[in-house]
Amino acid sequence: MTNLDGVRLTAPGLYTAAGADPASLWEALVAGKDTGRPYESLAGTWPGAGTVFLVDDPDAATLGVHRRVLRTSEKQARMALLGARLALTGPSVTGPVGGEGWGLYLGLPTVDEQLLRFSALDGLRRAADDSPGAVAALYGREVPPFSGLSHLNSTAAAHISATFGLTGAMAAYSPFSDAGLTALVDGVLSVAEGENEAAVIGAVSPKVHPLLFPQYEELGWTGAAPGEGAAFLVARRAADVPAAPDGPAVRLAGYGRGFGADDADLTSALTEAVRAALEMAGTDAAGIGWVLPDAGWTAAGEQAQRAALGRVFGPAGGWPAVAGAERATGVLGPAHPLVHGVLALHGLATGRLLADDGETVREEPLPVDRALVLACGARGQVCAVVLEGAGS
Amino acid sequence: MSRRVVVTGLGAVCGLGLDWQTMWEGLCEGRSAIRGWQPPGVDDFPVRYAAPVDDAAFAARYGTDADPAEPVERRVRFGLAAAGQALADAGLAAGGDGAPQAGRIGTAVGSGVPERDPLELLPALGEDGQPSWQALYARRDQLDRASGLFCTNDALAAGIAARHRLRGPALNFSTACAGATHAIGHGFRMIRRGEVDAMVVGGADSVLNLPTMTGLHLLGAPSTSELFGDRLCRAFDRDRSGLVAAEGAAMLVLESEESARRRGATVYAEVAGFGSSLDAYQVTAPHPDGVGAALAMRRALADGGVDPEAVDSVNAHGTSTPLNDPIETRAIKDVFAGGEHYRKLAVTANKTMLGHLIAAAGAPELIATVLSVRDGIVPPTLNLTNPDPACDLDYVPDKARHQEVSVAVSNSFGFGGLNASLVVRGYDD
Repeated sequence: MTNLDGVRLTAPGLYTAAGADPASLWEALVAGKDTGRPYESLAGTWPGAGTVFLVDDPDAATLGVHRRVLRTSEKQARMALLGARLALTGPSVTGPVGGEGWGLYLGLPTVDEQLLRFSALDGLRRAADDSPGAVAALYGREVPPFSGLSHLNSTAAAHISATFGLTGAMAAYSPFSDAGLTALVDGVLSVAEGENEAAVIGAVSPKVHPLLFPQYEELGWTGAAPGEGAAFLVARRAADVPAAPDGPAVRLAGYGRGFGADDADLTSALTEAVRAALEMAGTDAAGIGWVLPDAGWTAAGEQAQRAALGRVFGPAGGWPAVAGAERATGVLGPAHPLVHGVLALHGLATGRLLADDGETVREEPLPVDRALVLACGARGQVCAVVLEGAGS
Repeated sequence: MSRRVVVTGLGAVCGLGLDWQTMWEGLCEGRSAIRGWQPPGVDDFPVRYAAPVDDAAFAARYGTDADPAEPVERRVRFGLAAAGQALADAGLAAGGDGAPQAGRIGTAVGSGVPERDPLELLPALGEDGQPSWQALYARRDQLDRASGLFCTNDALAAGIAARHRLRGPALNFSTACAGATHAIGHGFRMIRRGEVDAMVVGGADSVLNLPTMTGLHLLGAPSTSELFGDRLCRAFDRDRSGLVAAEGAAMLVLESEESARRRGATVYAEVAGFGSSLDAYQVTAPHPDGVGAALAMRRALADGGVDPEAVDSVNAHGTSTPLNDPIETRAIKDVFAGGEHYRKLAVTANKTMLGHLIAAAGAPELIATVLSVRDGIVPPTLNLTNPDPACDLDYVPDKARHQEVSVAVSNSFGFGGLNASLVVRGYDD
């Protein structure tokens, strides 16, 4: 397997309802700050989706792009672009960005855009009562220009690449949380294997939209509050990382990924993924200081995570601290595990962790400088990574 | 660990046929799957031609639905059928002697976007004619569970893994028209580095529905010409006027050489290298100098340790769009400039026969590339009767060519400048 030692994770960029930097999110979690808001849409809400965690739609000035970019993007692409900007213009990135050595790895949701405005539905019903030709004519009139682009979630990659001049190797995955963690793994591998000198790694949530809820229900959604946001990191060759502008750099020490089709399979697959990640990291359950589990999006996923962590950490005689970002960000789809990756970087850099006792989140010293981040995709895809302080 | 990766199984469902053998025969004979097309019940849709799968033949062979208890979209049905073929072809459908453990076989696919039809939202209209999400919620049992409303992009990857009890990673790539090639390339890398022993890789897509074709039409991507009938896809020709959309799926089983040899599997060819790049130019147009396309090819060749002068054939992205074809030509000439090797390349555009399978496009084209290497046949580029002076390579016009193909490159360039190339070479144990 590829040696991951020579790659560092740095330059966190974060955009969530709890703020636009890791420290703000950290503080919001510890303070128990209420960052959610009631969900409203022009046509009412989807029952059961009362609270959501929204972010403002970034404008052209915030994104540092020409206004025409807004015409060929939708909110999720704009959130991703802002996340990338926050990472690449932060203090951790010195020297020029972009060029053939800079790649891009993204976790993206399924595109959330409606083809027709809801207000056109009555006209659509009349057309449907008339003939398929009338429906086609209505589509021709009512579908907005560039709507075809909004079908392609990969336009986020195109915008980030064009804005920052990235022409390196790339990949984009979708649509659930495993996509975000897969982007992290493959982005690091691209640097470790010499394909890129640096890889911009990021993931974005879907725009919260009622159109997504039927999908969620189909997949066993627990009713957990959805959120919006993006999280980005940069993987760089260790030799290219400047000396600690914002704390020690972190590395991906190990990973595991797999698939489990049903509940029992899912637990086994996640257990194996965690064990593979620990083994690759050269450690065991006792070597993990903090677990950042995936958000509880489906009942099967929640149960599988609990069971898998019990299998791994139970025999070790005690669980490490467990906490994630969900209380302050909502559930962020592909971005969720990368938000956790950013939180873990912050904790590893400052020697602290977060622990959630079910009521509150508290801050504690980090006993071992390794964190385990999990992703449990809605259809059975699993991924686990061990992040480690680079001094370990 | 760096291992050789070989192709041991193939599967295809497309307008040329419902298995890879029929598809390959059609490509070699220069048959076209492109025919007159309109959305059901419509007679004046501006896009007049496409390359659909024969629904009746597909239903007769694979049934009308994959699993009535778990309805899936059209693209997923095609993909499941192709994956089943490929695994059976590889002798892995039911495990078999020496087969890798389920946890050592993964899935990586590109599968486009859901077939989202606004008609599905009509139940959201209340009695008063006003739309509301509460109304849709109350009537959600009336909705078609196979519709785009319920579908997510990972249904194919997860469906293949679940159906065949594969427990390795199940990945879905979202890189527009380069999706399948990215999926194949990353599957190749995962085997090469020892993460898994085998991967089912490829793509499936179906855009031949009114909403998605409306979106594509608004982007100006498909040809609306009626001048050439079913000879409308004219890659590298002066009279090309846009892509001709298609649907279908193609899957390959990639396997470590060690695993294939242990099983005594038939090896079609070796995947030698993969490269990807970004244009960093515009969302709506490729870089005019073909910089990103050239980078992807160069990286794939370097990844495989292949000298550009060793390449015999390029399976071009060749979309028949005004922008792609001269830009790809320029990129090929740039990459193979040494000794003007580009003059010796047999460049072919499978889309002139298959149409453009969008996210899946790279998968049937890689199968054609693999078989080109195995059989020593380069399929033709059809309809190249009025060559564009800016497209001045040997495109193998009209008729397939019998020639030795030791090494071949297959290109896929996605909307927004997301590029990927693969290198295939003959397998010599």
